[in-house]
Amino acid sequence: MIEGEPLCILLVEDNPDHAELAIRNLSEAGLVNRVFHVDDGEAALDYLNSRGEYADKSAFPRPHLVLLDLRLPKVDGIEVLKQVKGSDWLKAIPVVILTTSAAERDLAMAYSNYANSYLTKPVDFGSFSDLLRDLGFYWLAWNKRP
Amino acid sequence: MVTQMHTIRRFALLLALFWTAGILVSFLWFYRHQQQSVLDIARAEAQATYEKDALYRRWATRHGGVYVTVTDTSPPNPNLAHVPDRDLRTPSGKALTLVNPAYMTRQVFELADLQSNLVRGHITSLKPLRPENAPDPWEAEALRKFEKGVKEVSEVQILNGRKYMRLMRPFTTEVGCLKCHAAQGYRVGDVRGGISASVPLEAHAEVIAAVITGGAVSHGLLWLLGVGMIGTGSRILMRSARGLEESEERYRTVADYTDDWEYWQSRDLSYRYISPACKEISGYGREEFYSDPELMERIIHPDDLAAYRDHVHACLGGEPKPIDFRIVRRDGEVRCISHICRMVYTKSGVEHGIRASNRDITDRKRAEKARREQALLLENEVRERKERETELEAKNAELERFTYTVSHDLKSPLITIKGFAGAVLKDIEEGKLQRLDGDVRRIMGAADKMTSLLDDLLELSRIGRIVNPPTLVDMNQLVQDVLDQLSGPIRQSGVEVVLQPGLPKVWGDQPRIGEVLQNLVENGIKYMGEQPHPKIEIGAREAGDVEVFTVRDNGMGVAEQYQESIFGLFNKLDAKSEGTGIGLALARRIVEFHGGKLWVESEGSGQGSTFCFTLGMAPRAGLN
Repeated sequence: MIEGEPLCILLVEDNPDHAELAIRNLSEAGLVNRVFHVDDGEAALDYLNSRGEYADKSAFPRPHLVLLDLRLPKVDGIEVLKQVKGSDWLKAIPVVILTTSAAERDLAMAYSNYANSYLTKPVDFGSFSDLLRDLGFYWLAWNKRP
Repeated sequence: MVTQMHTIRRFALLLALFWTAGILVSFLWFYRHQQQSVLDIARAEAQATYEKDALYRRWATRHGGVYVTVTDTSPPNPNLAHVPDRDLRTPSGKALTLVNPAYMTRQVFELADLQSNLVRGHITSLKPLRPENAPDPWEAEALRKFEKGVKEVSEVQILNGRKYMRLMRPFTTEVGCLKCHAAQGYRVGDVRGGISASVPLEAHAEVIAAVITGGAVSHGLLWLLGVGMIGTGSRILMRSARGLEESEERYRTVADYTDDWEYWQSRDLSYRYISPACKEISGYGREEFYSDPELMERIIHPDDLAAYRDHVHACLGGEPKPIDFRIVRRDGEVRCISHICRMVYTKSGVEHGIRASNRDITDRKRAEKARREQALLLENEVRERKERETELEAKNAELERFTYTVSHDLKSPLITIKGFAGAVLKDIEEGKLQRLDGDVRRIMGAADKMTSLLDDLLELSRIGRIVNPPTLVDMNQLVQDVLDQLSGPIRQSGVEVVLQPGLPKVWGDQPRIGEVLQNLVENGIKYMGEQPHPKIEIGAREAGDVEVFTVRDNGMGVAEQYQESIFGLFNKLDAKSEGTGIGLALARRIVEFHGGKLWVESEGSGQGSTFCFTLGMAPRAGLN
């Protein structure tokens, strides 16, 4: 099921606790080789475009999936999404919005900017674990990547 | 006009009457004249007959009578018995007898009587020798007149049912007469009797009747001709009068039946026509304007008179423009008039005065004014509503943003708390205890975060609710107080703070403005970055007519793209920095409640930043 290529997720999350929860759950599901965590939008774009401190492609490989929070310092999630989906180089990468916001506006905005999926963070710990496990399975195992 | 038609009709009737009377008089004269001629002719005829009879008689008298054969009708006259040789016998034995002139005449007359159309003669006397010769009453009357010296008597008389012209002349005694009448005592020259001649008038009457008929016919024709001409003439006159009348009626209807005050004025400004509405509009009758053309200028409102005069001048110069002016009515009321006029010309193109129209637009003006006022009111109301709407929209948007932010930011620590609590439980179940400490700390951290978020929210909500009355704030003093409060952090961070002296005084809520300053200074200290000589300058500058207060640092600076988002609620540029990210949002809210603005100026990352704010509060306006 799991191919030889190391699977890699870029987690864009400003809340370190949430990042920790996500990373812990993803790794416990045993799906992911590496989770790269950045805590603001600008860093996410730098990573994806291999700029600045993320210029080294072998250390910071192109992710197979981006988990993107919407409310981010500096550059917010929607702007990151726009730039990813507006770039020929990046738009093929599935971007899953993972946010606390269940607001209609955010949902509509995300999909109209070609988000591949939209998930709200469940408050309940069990659900959070299940969500991330299923997410990993779906996108990294079941889903045929480009 | 109707009266003109009447006049024509009356005149024609009168003319016809005169004509008829004239014809009648003429005919009457003609008739009488003809009648007279009949009598004259008859009289002449009678005279002629008389003369002739007299002539024959005289002849017979002169011969002392004539002898005729004795017949039954002519027997010897017994009245001549005394005359010698009354009867003779011719040698052949023929018996002759003397017929005296009177007898001869009588016999001739008797002969004439046998023919009805001949003139009848009659010899008579008041003392006739023969009783047959006695006069009838008319003759007797005439004979008596002769004795008084009348020479002739003539008269129309009806005899035996027929009309006759009777004429009688006296018969004077001559010498020959005495042969028979001497015995009666007559002398030569005495009126002894008379001969009357009666001319039958029938024949003459027929002729005359024809003549009179002819006369009547010609008079009739003449009358008809005259009446016809009078009739035709009057009809033609009437027709033209009716045409005039209709035309007059048409123009009068058009001109008079108007609610506008129409007029036609000669070049010398005298009026040639004024419509009756003039009275309605001005209170003055049109006769008053006819007799006093300057009345117009006198009733125009003094303030509008100059404009009106200019207008009249322009109009006479051939360039009329519509004008509105006011007039003062007879009853003192002021009315608005819309005046429009133009030069008029005769058919041959000669200037023929000014045709003008005055319309009372007072009501319209009033309505317009009312409408304008109404519109203004509405406009104001709409504007106010729009302002309120905009305000409301802004508030709604703010509220939405606020709700969104709050729900997001408050949910975040909850996820952390429940997430790590779940992890802790799971680890305990599995006996993995090495992560417990860290996880519980995370839980506590999240709870603390939540507490401070709630505190900040409370603080934010107090702005606008808890209001201190505005006072004149001495900014130098206030900044100094704030710096004193922050002396600890300033000392720790080693930041040099410079206060520009002579800051202006402003009106405002002093404790709140202090909070703004405190936030900005704290911000400057917090984001000083790696600056070896950290420095914060507090000052003011004038921009236009407002005072701009500035808090300048030489720290990290703010890149252009974040210069607005840093003021968002719970927004932070650096996720790891302390605080909830409410400081700038709070400061901006306070400044905005003062009617001012708060913004940041920075050349970019590492270039330091200058936070600027204005306070637009008027001295007595309260914070609400």
